[in-house]
Amino acid sequence: MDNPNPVIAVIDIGSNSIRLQISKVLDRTYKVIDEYKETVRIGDNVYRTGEFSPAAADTITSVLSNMKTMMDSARVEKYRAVATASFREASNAGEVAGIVKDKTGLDIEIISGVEEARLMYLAASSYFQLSEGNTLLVDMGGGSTEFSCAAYGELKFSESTPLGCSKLTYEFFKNDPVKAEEVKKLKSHIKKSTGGFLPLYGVDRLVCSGGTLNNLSFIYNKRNNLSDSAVKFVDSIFTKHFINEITGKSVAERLKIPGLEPARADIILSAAILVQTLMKRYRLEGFYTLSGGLRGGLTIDLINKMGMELLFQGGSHVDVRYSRLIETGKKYCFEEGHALQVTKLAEKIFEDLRSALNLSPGDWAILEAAGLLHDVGQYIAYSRHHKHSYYLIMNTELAGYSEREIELIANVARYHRRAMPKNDHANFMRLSPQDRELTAKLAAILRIADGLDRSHGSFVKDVRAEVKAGAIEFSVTSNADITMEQSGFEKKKDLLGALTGKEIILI
Amino acid sequence: MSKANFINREISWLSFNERVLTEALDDRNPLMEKLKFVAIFSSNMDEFFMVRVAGLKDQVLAGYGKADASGLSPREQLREINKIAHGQTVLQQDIFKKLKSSLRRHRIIFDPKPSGAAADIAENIFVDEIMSVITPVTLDPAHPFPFIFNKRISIIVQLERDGRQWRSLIMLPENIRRFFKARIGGDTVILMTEDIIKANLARLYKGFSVKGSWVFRVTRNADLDVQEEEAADLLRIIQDSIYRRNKGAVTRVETEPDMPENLLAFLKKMIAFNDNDIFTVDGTIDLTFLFGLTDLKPSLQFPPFKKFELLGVPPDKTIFDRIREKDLFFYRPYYSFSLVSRLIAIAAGDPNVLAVKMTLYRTNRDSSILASLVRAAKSGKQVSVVVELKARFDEERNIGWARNLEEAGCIVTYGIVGLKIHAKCLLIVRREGDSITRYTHVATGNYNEITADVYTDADLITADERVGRDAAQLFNYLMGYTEEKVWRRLFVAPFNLREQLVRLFDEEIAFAKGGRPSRVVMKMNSLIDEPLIRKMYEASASGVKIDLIVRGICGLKAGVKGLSENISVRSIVGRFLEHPRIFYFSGGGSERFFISSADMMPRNLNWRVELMTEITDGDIKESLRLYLKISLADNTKAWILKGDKYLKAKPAPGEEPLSSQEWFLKNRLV
Amino acid sequence: MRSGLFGIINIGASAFRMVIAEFRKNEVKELEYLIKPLRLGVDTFSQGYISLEHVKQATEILSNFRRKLDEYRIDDYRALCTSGVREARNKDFFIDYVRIHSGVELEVLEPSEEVYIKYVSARSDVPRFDEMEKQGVVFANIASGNVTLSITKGDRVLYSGTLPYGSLRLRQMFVHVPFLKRYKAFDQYVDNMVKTVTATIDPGEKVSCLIGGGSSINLMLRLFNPRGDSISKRELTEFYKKVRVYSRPELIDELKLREDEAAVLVPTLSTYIHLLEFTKSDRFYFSRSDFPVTLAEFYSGRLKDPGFSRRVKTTLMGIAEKYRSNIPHVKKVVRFSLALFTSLKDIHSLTKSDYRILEAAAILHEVGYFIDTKDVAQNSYFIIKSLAIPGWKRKTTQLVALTVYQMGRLPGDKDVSQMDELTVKERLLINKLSCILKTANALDAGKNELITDFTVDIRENMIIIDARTSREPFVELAAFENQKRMFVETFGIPIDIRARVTYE
Repeated sequence: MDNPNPVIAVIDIGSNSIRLQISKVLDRTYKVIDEYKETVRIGDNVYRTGEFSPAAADTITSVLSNMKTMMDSARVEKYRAVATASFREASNAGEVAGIVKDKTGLDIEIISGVEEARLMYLAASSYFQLSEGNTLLVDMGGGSTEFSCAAYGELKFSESTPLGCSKLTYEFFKNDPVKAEEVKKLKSHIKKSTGGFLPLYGVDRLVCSGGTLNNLSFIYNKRNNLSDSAVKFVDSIFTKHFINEITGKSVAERLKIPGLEPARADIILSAAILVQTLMKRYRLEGFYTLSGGLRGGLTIDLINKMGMELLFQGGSHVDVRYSRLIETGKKYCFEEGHALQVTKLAEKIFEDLRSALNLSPGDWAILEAAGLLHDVGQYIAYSRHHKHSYYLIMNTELAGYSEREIELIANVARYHRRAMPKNDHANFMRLSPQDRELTAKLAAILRIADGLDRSHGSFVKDVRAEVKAGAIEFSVTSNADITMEQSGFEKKKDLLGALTGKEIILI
Repeated sequence: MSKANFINREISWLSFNERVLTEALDDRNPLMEKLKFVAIFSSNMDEFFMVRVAGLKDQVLAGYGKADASGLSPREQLREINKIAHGQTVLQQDIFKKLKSSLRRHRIIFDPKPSGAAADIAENIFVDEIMSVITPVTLDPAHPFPFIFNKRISIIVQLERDGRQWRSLIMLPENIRRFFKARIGGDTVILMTEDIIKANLARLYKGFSVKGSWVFRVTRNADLDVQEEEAADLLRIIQDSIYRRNKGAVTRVETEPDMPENLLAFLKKMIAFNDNDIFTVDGTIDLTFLFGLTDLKPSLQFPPFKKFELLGVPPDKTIFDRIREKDLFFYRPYYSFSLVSRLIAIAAGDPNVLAVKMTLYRTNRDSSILASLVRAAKSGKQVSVVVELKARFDEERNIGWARNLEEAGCIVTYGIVGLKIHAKCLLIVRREGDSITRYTHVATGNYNEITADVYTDADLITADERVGRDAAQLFNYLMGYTEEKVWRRLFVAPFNLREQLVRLFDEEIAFAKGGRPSRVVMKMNSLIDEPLIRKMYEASASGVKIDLIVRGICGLKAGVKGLSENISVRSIVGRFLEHPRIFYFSGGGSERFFISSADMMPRNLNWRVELMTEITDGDIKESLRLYLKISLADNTKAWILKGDKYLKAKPAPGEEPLSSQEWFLKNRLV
Repeated sequence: MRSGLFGIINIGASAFRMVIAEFRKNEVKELEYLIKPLRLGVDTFSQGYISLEHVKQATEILSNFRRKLDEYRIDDYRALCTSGVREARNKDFFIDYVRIHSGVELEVLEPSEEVYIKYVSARSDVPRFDEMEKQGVVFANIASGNVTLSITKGDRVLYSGTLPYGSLRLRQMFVHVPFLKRYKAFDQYVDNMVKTVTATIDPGEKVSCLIGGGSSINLMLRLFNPRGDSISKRELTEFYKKVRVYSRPELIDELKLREDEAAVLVPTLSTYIHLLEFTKSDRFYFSRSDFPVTLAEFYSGRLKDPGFSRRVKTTLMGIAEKYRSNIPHVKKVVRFSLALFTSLKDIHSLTKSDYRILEAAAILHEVGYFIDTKDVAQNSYFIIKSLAIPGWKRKTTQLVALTVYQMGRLPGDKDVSQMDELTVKERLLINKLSCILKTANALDAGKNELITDFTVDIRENMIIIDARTSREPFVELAAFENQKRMFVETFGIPIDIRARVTYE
């Protein structure tokens, strides 16, 4: 019988680095169990001479041979090693791949820019709800940049352009510091090169990847004291200011910028200009970056090729965010039935109390996520698991949610049991006053929903909440014994009572 | 099983008291001792009327009509009691008359109507000792009929003045002597106080002519708190009904035979009693005074006896080594109880002793034990004394010493509400090297150095760790430190004592049914517990041979065909009050012996803290076997129960007379 | 092992117990055993704090216990509180009040320690425990406040924890439910507990034996009067079906139970039945160990746990697996850490117990990857800190967690605040251990086991690691380079590496 949880690996041989990602395939999801990266600028020589130097070939071989050992020790059953721009451009690429094959037994697959774009799309689809609106995916490498456009969940086109940031820097920025004139030239070059295939308007979301743009979002996050995550959001005002800030600076001066990777100090400007041009064109408030996009896409592709479809791939009707929540829950072995039941009940209560609590429909996304994940902390330990849930939600990649949303989800989950929100709770005080209020309201609903599935038996079929003058009356439909649920309700109605000052009654 | 399979407890008790009385007819008893038996009978009877009869009357009054195990309702029981008690009153006066003539031979003379020299002396006594302390109440509208106190000798006097009839009452004060001794010639003349008064009434009633005077005595339903515990379980039976103790109600009126009808009718009306309560005493009312006569002729008492001492028991703290080697066991009064007092004294002075704990139920005021405890506490040992609450029947005595103990630093606790502590236990905790040894004393009798001379009892002192642990737990329980009630070696009422007895009987029944030898011998004071008696009947029917030595109340019918043919019951009434509870079970070959503080009565097994301890030492078992064997062989002081009647045992033809108590006085048991 | 007299007081949720025991050579003699019912849990589990009335009653009981200690002149005692006090909001007040008014110094027993002691005691008490453990065993100690569960298989602890499902707590929770239905509430709730626990165990792990223990065992023995050493599920279920609808007075009358026993019987039965369903076994065995006696044996050093280190090690390995660590790499790092520790003995002058911390840290050093590949140090710290390893004190857990944190810390990462609570000595310990661990980790940085072995050459001014490797270890050398500075800062002596490729 096939191993139901095979270990798979993908290797991404880029211009600047070679990366290995090892994952374990789980039930319709996967879990990265190891990552390894060597920063080797093998592409530099290629762009200069058109071929890999012997030293570069050696480096590639030795790094891949190390990676092969790691793959063996992790008992990797399937892998895919792909090489992108530098291999595409190097005239001796096939030769080098042959050496690697001889030395390590690894087959390197040189993929086209279009394939790269497809993989990127796969990766993005695991993080973003691509079924909504139009998304432009930009994967900016050193040598090339791939543009893909997805409209309502379908990949419309992919285009590979030689707009790599190293390449652009090389071609346009001869001076240090860069002259304004040079910047202007670059901007018009970008407009010209992309005008032919990119839509003039209608892009709702810009998702970028590539090390340099990731570095840009890292700097942004660092400045705003946001935590690092695979998906980051960068607003356009920052990008504009950043471009102004570094345009006048020499590369040496730029090195002082916190978070800026020294190796990217020169090329970051062209990358920023590219993305800024796109945001301006589509009047976007910002862009997302996706790190590890190619590897993510490769992994998904590999799993698909093994005959498995992942949760979020259930078609365009599947809510990706939702799927990722379920995946996260599964990762922490949550009790799916209970999580779904609580979320279901929470939704009903949310709808019934929305106007009374002055909640907006968009707040449901927070409560939904908190409902699904409220118990994940039990994976760490049962006792204090609400606090563990908080930590795990805060620190686990939750794709598709902003920093603020994640913090709200974590707080709501944290208050699903035990203490009510208090001003001496550090996690609570990190929130803005408005968000504290929102947390309390959503947690109040979650508590009741959780109480109504005290037995974890999904015995409550339906719940209604009715706001009366002095009380909020709940009524439930059930054809089972709901003794436990009744007592759960009594125990957990406290927060709603405290918030509304009304009596909370189960009739 | 029909109700007639049981003997009513009151009737059984009356018959026990009669056995005590008839000791006064046994010529093996010296004359002075015979007087004592008569006195005991009287004092027992007083209590019986104050408590038992009072209780039954209360039940009748409360409308409680439930029959007891013997099938008698309270009313029927009262009727029976009345009949028997009347007979016994006559019997007692007959015996008293006989004793008076014996006394006369020893020149001790009772003179109810003193004349001559005696009259002179009587008059002197009246003037000097009596007149000033008595207060006659001559009844008129200003002087209504006074309350006649319980057990007071009273005299009603018929007077006449100016052709008018007057009645006067004299109630003897509590502290007045009951009799005076006059030496006349070589005779000792006993003058009863009431007789002296009667002879000198004219001095009291000047201006009246005394037409006649009659002595009477009223016994009343007495305050339970100052009473023996006899009534406690009675109370419990009916506590749920609307019952209220009818304190002070009259239960008996003793009168002289020639009291005129009209006076009697007058008293009946004024004191509120009925014909059934009247006991006509042809002789002297209230013979308890005879206790005070017994030392008149020491030569006519039981000769003093020398107590045995246990052999090889050191007088110092090496006594502990001795106990660790082998359990100590002895019998009171044949062996000196001072061993226990000495053990406590040694413990008090031994720096290795960490703690001393004991139950004190009834102790004598000048007890050397109390002194030792105080000394121990003052030397820094933890001394804990559990005092039985209800034993406060005479307050000054008990509370006084309890307070002394507290002042000395002892921890004094008063037991558990609702559970009277009857167990007798002493625990000494001693550090020996880096380990703890506990010495436990358990006994069938109280820590009372005086009653130890009169009551027969058995005492065990052991270093058995399991006994020590249980004893420690018992104290922890009694002091409220624990609720743990799992016992390893001790059997403790009301927790597991009854269960253990039942288990022992069941085992014997199984042996008998399996054709193996089976036998039970039990010695106790009272047997009235219905479930246990049924169990004994069951055992008898299964072929278990049961010999019971029950001194007092016995609800079981012995040797009745189809009921108890395998059960023999005997009662020993002698010089000492039989008191130990010793139980023997054949154990199908591995014989088991127990000593206990508990009688086989519901109150003991259900409402009291009692102990039963198994004897494990082979030599002590042998000694107990001998003790029981001799007790069963008694053919002079024993009474054999046949059905529900007691017959005095007699030596069979050719058999040597054997009195067990005498035998124990002369032969070492250990 | 100490000898002499030792006193243990255990303040449970429904009773106070005390044991005075005498220890001599290899002998234990239980001199006294006291028990005084007082249901502190009724307060704690329903209103969250101990009522003043109960504080006073507790003080009275403890004053009496104090007298028992005085009687034997015992200074050597421990008075340990479990959930009834542990979970009360006013526990500090309670402890202080008791100390002032009775002179008894109370301590709160950590839940993990409680589970561990109970487990070790059951091990030594239940015959064939080892045998059962091979097939996987659930040991459930049902007390009034909590159920402590230890699920072990072979040398591994699969689960260990105290769960708030004690019989008194359950009863208290559903006291308002009509008694005819109350058992349903118990059933559902206990089922919930079993689900919670099973969720944390790999579904592939089968456990098939159940051992029960705790204060309710005596009651079970009395009711079932088992001939052998087990009670069958059939008996249990039949009995449960009969009595679950009894009211409390009915239980007392018909089964001759004490008031307190009647209160907890039905929840206790329900718990056993659910656990039996979980283990799919047809009977449960029992341990008669009594908790206070066990405590006395434990704290006097008599209760031995010879398999402790081995069990901790396998358990930690299990946790490493649960968090999907790279096991061959972990094993290598453990081996290298310990080899370094031993070789550098003269330089670090640490002890055997420090060695255990290092070993644990090495096993757990990459658990944080599971949560996310970023902030691994912090994630690892978080996971380790939340572990309840039977037999570990909170301090041990903290030291291990901080060692791992410090090891994975990147320059610029902030100290976790817990570091501040440590003494200077402890901080030094963590620096040393994490430095050793980091060095060991560097030697297998590529996780490909290139370096097979090494020797440590300690020279006057320099330590040289002489590594044997099958191929040139680029990754390892780079990693080693990064941590050289830390080494010299920690130990005051520079370190370097020489890698020799071995040929065949």
